Amino acid sequence: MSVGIIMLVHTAFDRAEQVARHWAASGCPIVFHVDENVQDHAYHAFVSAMSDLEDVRFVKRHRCEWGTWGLVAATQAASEKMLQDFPDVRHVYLTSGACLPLRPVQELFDYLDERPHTDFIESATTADVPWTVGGLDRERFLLRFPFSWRRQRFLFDAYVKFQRLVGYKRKIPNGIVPHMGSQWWCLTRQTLSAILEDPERKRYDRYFSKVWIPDESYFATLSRLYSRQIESRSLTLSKFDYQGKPHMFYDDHLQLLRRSDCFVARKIWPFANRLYDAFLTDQEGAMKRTEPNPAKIDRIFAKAVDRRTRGRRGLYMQSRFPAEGRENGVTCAPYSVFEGFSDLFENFEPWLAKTTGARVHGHLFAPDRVEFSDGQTVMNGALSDSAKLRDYNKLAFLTSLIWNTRGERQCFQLGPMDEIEDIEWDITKDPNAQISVITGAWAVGLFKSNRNFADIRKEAARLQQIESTHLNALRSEWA
Amino acid sequence: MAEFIEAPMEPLQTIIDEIGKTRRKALAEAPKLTDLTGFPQFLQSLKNQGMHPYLMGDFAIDAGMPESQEPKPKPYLIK
Repeated sequence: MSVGIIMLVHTAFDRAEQVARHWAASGCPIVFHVDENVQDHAYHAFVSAMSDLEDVRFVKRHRCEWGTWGLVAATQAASEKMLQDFPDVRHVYLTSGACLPLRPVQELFDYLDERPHTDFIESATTADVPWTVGGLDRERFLLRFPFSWRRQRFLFDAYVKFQRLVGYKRKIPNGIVPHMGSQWWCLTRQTLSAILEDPERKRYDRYFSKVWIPDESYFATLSRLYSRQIESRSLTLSKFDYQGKPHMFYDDHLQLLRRSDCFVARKIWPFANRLYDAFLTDQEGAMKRTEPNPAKIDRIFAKAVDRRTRGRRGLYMQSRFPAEGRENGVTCAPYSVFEGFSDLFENFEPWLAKTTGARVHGHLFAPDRVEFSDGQTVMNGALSDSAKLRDYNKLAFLTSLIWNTRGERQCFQLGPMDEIEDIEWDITKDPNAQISVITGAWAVGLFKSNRNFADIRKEAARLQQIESTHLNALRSEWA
Repeated sequence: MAEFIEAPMEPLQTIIDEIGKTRRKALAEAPKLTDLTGFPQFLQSLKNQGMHPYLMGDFAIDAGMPESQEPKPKPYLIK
């Protein structure tokens, strides 16, 4: 009894050969399918490179484009060849050229020997999975998809729209229930041969050849008809990014992959030398005998996706410059805004700094310059005190200040004499802002000023108007 | 404003507590209130000029500002 390996290869033949020799060294027969898009000389070079191995077969090449029937046809051809040429094979493991065995092959043998009738294939009904990206979940089984999504996007979209418009719905043959899952399965001879020798196979093939991404559903659906025991999970660890594309593993993922306890992982970057070196050496790199446990590293990947899509609060950078409203918070930490306090108290700023240990700035939005604490002209992160630079984008200035000084509470003064017009709403809406206002305290400054009373009167009217508008903002439903 | 200077320590304490989160100490020292002698009269002058200052609250001219005439931090001590 043995395990047969099907490898679907379309690139990085040196790596495919390396992995194939690893399997072969443990006695696994291998059937290759090479994408028809591969140039002939590369194909023949690969065939001759593998010619010294006895239990290696190549099957007729199909054009394998992502999301099309070609991948299923290739898998079918390779499976038939495997079952026919290697009667000892009990489990057939479908892999790609970018798959890498993580545990000694013998451990996989032992694992499957203990579960001789189990089919490992991820298989779930569409209603229950969150995987589908792009909205075509149920519809992928009910519409026809004769056009390539990659090369004929316009026709693809137009035809989908058209079918929706006329309310077209395909009939699913024999009332089978469409299931979906990762195409990297490991099936028993019994189940696989039952699928391939099914008298109704022509009908199924015709149906699935117009389904969207049939390689994710053909075997997942049909194995439900015949399997004695389905374990709905893949023995191959694969991760998808937030766009639904397979995640590449690099050298940095070495420890992560070790921890997964999975038998095989994909996709491996062809130039990840450390990974290939570490996992293709025999028992030395062996991991302990435990159940595969991809969940162990799920959390890390979930975090990575979260970092990619939501980013960090209050951090903008060249790789992440979200549109307004999608910032995930405009600032990264709480800060305090004081309005009127420094007018009323002579030593408010030093007092506040002493009492709280926070960094207390003056009027950050003063018209002539940014009043950083202690009269500094440059703040953390090379923030300049130039009013012109600040006014170029006031919100970004505030965001940067709070980010650059994280770990230290920031306080600053604000008042109607400042340039608050296009920043007050941002501060008001920011849940990190702790705003305290003593209304009318700006009048103390005028009261102490040595100006003509007519000017004072005019200025008081202006400031009162500004503060009144500002207070309306603070009291609005958004604040 | 008028309301605030009647009893400034309470709101200050609240604000400081919010900043300090973990440390809940009573304030030992108050900031020094600026001298507001004549401020009510100043506001009245604005009113007399037809400008209506309302955001400061009510400052009674006759009563003056007893605390502000000579700022004494002592009465604000909270222990």
